[in-house]
Amino acid sequence: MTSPALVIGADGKPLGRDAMLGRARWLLDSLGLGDEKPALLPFCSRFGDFLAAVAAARHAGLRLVLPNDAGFAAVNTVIAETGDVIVLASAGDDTSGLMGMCAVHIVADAPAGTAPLTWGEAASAGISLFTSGTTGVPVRHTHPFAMLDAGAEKWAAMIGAPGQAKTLVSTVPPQHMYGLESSIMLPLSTPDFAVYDLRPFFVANVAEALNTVPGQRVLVSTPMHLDLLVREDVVLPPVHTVVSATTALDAELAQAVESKFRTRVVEVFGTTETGLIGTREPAREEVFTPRDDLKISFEDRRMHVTSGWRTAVLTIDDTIDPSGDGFRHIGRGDDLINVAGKRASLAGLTRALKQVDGVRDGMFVMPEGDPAGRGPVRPVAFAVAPDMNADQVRRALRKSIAPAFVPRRIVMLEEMPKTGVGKPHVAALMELLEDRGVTFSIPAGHPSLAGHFPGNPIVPGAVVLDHALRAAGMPGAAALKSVKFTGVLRAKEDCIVETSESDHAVEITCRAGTRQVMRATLRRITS
Amino acid sequence: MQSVSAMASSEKTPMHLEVAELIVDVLNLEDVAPDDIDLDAPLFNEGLGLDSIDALELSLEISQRYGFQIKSDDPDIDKVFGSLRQLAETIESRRSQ
Repeated sequence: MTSPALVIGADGKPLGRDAMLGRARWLLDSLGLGDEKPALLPFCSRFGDFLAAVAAARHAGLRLVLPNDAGFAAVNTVIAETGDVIVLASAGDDTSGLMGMCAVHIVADAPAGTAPLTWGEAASAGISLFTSGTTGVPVRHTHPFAMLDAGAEKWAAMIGAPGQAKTLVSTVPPQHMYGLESSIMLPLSTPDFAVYDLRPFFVANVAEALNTVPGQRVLVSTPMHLDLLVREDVVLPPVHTVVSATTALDAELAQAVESKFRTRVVEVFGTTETGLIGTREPAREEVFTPRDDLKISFEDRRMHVTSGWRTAVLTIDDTIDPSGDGFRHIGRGDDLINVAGKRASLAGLTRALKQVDGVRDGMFVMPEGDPAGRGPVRPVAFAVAPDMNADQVRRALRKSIAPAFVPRRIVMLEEMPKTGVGKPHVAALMELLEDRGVTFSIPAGHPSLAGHFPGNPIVPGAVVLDHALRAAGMPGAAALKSVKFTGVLRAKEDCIVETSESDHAVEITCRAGTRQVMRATLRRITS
Repeated sequence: MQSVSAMASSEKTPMHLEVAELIVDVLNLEDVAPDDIDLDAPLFNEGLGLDSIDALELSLEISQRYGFQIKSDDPDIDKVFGSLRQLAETIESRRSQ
């Protein structure tokens, strides 16, 4: 006798609902808790193990805690804050960075014949998720299972095709609300859905996963992965629905995904506090249709959400306008930033920066995106730290903030520009970012280019140096000590010249975009 | 016994520079010149400090430029993005174009 598939193994073999709920029973048996009620923290890389942990906690009345980042720093913070907690891992997971003294248990397959436990009345207090707070301390949100079950039904209706077996392939970690609602609660709490056990990462892994799973395929992903799938020369089997969330999916990318993979793209708007709030098909719609069991209202371009599961009304930090019966998402709030789908608070990041030993003052800002740039825009930090250089500050920050938010650019300042009331002068800081020196460009017809790489002329180093010295106002005033040509400058490209001066030397750097072209050191000629 | 890479030269070959330029260019690394990337320093976390988002961008560029795809279950995946030297070696041995 077989039960419907709940998980599709890496090899494509289905694991039935009974087998997975048997794994949950076996997990509880092997934890041997007696009357104790520790919290469970599923750190498992495999969806099947994560799912078993959720079923076990629900059955045994244990609380689940899900850190907002899978990095060791975030996980350890939640362990320390929760206290009595057992970390659950999949076989082979790297747990070396977990704090000492914490209990780790590897989720294992149940012996044949283990009776499945029931997925029914929830005895558990629910699932706690965390968001990065503005104060640097993660904020806890606890959701009862009844709320998560109701959400799963909305998800199932959104994907449609009731009665047909569907398999989810997800590139999204399950410890966030988006991943939890889709890859965990949807299979557990509604019929027809299974989830592929592995979380594919590279484009080739996504293609392999979709080719491995049976039934109608549903891809749960983010604009970042969808963009890579479209740009990469990859062939996918037909996909029933692609779901996207975490950051706005533009119409053009949604259309490209739909035509390349013969699919329908649905975008979900939701929050950690409420789960799914509304959906739209971005290839054709700008307006989100709100979920029918929530009440939404608007005030000053902010949306308020009332849910039967929360006592307080939630105000979303983003700019959102009403539109017909739905809403239009205009932009993110001033404090929340988003790097490739990961969210953080600028205030929280600034706080982490100021806590670095040796940093006297500092601030994080988010520059405007470069529409022609590749990859996500990253935050930039300004720091006042007289005894440190940018690299040392960056290294210290890596210990306290998630990698996506570690600034690629740190501007070291002697003091922070402040406004009259003593707040950081954000406009002045932004100007510092733009004020990147003088520029020059060499026209395609410049005599120095004759005969150099016809069709795609590269500017000779001597010409770059000559123009850089003139742009920096230096000809004749200094002697060249060293020069290095570190990248190519093409005709018509804007070359940015920056100078930094010390007592005896001047350093001149040239860049084209972000590519460094030349670095030169000059000695001042003193009379 | 010394490993081959420990005895290898610390001078960058044209291939090392080509890959270093690719990294700086694709990832818009501010404050880093291709020549500054240490041949044997880790590219991820410590060292250059790249993260998983960068790995995805690099994998796309490598696939388009050198014609092979990277997967997280590749047996040598730890090596692929280990250091500049290792990434350049991987590209040289797996490239199809």
